[in-house]
Amino acid sequence: MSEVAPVRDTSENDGCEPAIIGFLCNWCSYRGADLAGTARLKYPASLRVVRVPCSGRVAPELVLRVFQEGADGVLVLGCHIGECHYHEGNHRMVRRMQLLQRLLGYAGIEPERLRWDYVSAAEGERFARIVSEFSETVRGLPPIKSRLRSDDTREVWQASRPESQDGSWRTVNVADARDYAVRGKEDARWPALHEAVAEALADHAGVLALRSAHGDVAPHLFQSRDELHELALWPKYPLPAIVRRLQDSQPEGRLAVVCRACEERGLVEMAKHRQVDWARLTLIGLACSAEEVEACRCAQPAPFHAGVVVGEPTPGVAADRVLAALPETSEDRLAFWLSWVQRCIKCYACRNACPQCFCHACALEDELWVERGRLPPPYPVFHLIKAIHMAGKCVACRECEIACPAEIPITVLYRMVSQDVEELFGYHTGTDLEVLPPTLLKLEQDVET
Amino acid sequence: MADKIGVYVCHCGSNIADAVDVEGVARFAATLRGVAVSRHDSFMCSQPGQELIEADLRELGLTGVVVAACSPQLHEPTFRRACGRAGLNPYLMEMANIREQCSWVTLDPAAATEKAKALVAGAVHRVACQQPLEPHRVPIHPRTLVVGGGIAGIQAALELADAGYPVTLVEREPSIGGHMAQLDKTFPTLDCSACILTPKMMAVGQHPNIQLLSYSEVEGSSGYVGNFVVRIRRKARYVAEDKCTGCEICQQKCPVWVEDKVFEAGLGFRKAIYSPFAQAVPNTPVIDRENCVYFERGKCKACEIFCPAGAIVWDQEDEVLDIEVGNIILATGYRLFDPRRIPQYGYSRLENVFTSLEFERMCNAAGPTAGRIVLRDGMTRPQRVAIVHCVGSRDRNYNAYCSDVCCMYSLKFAHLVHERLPEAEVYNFYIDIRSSRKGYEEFYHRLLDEGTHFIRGKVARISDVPETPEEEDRLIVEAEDTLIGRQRRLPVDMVILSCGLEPQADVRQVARRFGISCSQNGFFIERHPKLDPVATTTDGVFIAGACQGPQDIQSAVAQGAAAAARVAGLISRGEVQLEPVLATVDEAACSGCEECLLTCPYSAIELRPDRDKAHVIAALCKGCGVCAAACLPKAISLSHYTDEQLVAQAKGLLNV
Repeated sequence: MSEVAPVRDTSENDGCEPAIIGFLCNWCSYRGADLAGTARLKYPASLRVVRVPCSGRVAPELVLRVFQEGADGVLVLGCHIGECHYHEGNHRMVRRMQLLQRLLGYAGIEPERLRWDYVSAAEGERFARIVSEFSETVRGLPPIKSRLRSDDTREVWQASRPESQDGSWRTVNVADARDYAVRGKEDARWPALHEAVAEALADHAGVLALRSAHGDVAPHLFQSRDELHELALWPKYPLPAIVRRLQDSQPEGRLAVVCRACEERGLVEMAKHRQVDWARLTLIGLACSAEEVEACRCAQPAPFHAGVVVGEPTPGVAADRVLAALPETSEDRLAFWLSWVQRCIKCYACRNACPQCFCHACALEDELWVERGRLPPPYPVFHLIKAIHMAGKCVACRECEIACPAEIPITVLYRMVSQDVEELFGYHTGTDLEVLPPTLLKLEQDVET
Repeated sequence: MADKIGVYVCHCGSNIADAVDVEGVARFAATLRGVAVSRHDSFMCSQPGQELIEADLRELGLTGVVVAACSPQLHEPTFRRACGRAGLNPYLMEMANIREQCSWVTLDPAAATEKAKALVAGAVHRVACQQPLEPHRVPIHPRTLVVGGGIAGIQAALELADAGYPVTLVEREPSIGGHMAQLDKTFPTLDCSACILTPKMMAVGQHPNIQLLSYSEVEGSSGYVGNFVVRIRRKARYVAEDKCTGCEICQQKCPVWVEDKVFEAGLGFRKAIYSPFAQAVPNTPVIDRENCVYFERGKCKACEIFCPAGAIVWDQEDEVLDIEVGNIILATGYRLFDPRRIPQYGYSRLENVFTSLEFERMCNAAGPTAGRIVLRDGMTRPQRVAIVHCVGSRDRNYNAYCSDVCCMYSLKFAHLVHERLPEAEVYNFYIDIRSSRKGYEEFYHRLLDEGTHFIRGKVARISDVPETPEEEDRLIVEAEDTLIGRQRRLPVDMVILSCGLEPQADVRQVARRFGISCSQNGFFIERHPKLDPVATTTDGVFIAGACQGPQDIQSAVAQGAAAAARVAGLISRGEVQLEPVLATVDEAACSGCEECLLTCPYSAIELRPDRDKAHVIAALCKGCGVCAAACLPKAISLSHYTDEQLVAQAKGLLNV
């Protein structure tokens, strides 16, 4: 940005001081930093401070953007738990940073590059110690600019697909999931589905399901029994997004929708975020067949909320191969992801297919977060902003990966994030209508820290 | 419009210039995009320094100003005002903190200079994105809440009430007075504590501008400077305050004696219906439900039967009041260090080891022994008394800080023993004698003349195991006399532990309730330890007395008055300016997902039902920005801390 030549090039010089951005809460940590100065404590010059009103102001996007800009480390400091000037902003900060740190790890960016901690206005010494420790940690890592440097896209694109062996570690079997051969009457579940839809037609303004026409399928709002012979079950189609549009256009009527377990979970999350009106919706569950479960490598294929379920629920496929497929070290993970994401043509298909991407504006299209006119889109901001937005939202429908023309195994990241949301916050995405979204949960530890 | 930014780099005498090549930073700043002028000056905060900025603003028509100097906590208001005077919106000024966070903390001058350049570049990038803002003004409610009815709170309440402003004084105990009401004499003048305190207590009780809520606690506080709403629980007294005449007949007739652990420090007894002491304000007694026979067994009612005013109300319930106040003064005081935490001193095991507060009550003519200094048996006069200084203070195992008052009250104790038991020997075991204020050193010399023995050494152990016939049936104080370099065993009859001052047990909850911070020791943190000792980082919340740190009565009085003066200044201005840091919603980008609404700690966001869009209620928004971070499409932005501004600053910081 500046017109002067860089005085320090991190990519060339491993021995130099790292660049660290610190987001400091105005009420505690910033004053603690000032106190360290007043007391003339010494700490490494690598830290550059951005003052924020509350550590809860620090959005994960901001941290990712700062890494993209070349920060070797990011330090987020807030008030001690229980002492937040704004009651619980620091709880939110910790929740977000916990998730983001793990995500960075999966994405091949050393999780040690992100640290959050608590410093009160009285803790100048603690501040200096944390900065020194963190600088020491980051100094031991290679400069991030050299890590994130990408090579020419076209070469990578033309190179062989970076998939390891058979791709069995993917969360979705793309080839099978993309079997677009229409399945209708010949499917064993068809008669039962037909009956359920016909029954629902009696007291609903319409039933949203798939219709086969001209050798293809499309979502259709069935409103009369005459059309029902065209009911189809496959290929999979992201119906929840259509439910939202239909409800918007028909503010009164009650709809029924044929949905698989993943779509049902999607509708639950959408209802929580007020994108669909749960009260005006009837679910007709469709249990996926063993073959479909295998194609999606789905762990939870049985509908849960639907009153009527068509077909015999099949047990889920344990998807424990995912983490095992990720390389061990950050360096290898980064190489793995870089080789994949360099195939990205930024078509936004992953976002467009996602039933949870219902926002009216998208951070991924904002120049502020993702530099425009660059292909492949910059890693990590582009892919990780989407991934962190999936926290507590990804319902494992795999529509994104099925839609991706470059077949980037992006759901691997989403699956890891979902797993973290479960592990850290006990949040099972898409199962419970009443539970608050995960990043809103307060930390359990209180007052004494 | 093209940016025309002025950069002003301060030497701060040698504070910055010693570590940072100030001229180099100024030259560097001139090369940054949008910078029209870059200067350096020895003291930017001085009149000529500020005039430099003002002149440039007028002559060059600058669109933004960056001052690279000390922390914005100190001079941000100064430079904002300077910009305002010259016609630039004050929020188009940004400071780069190159002193506290750069020159003072960096050893290597080259690294410090590089860092200073980065900080300046960050500020220049940021200021280019800043927007002009107008602070919003809100009226100040004239009422002040004073929490704690000790001497600091009493003083603060009286000052404000005398100035004509309404005050609500909340005290947890049945009477105001605090620790000072328990004391016998005050050092160094040996004034009778009650004699100088009770007139002030009476003045509080009778003042038309003071609403006194004793036996009450603050349960919650919301709002901001000028407009707080505090929730106060008035605990049930079971005595109607408007009927009770304070005749004390109920206390005479009540059949239940209870050990008084609060006012008499466990040395004396009170009744189950009681007023803690004779001069209590208010003098309405309270019924201690735990010990009242009627509440326990449903029989007795002696108080009710004998009460001439019919003031006993058995079915009284706690009352919860919501009171609007403009400012809050916390004067919640201290609690005495519990010497049972130092088992080698034997308190509670060895009966003639007393705490300082017990001894205060013993010396008090209105106390349990009517002022006679006696052993725990209530009759034997001690012949040899040891006073142990620094119990729980200046000791890293307990509290590293000095409790400020113990040396002086220990000297006072020695004097009282000499006065009342002229035959007795008094031994003071001290680390250092701290007598640094007016009249204190003179008092120390008076005690030297009175023949008090001073032994410089920290007491290691107090035991009752004799080694010589002389030590039989006595307490033995073991210490190293560091002045003669010998270990000593001193047999005495009585030991007084000069316990230190600690924060109240619930201090952290209180701090949280009022949105202020505690130091690691647990004392409330002042806005600035030297220059703003009674303000806190939360506007409208002030602190006074020992809750801020250990201090004696005159300091507590001075702080109470100081806090009152600060509050009176705010009230007389009539309105307060609030930082215009607020969240706003871009409705086109909002999908109405409610994430912001759920995350807002102040319920300041609502969903507009007609449009399904989030809407910020400006009056409730405190500007934390938690919503802006939570919003996925970034439809919410926080003024003065927008994503654009923060990213721009980070870019500047990194690309040097």
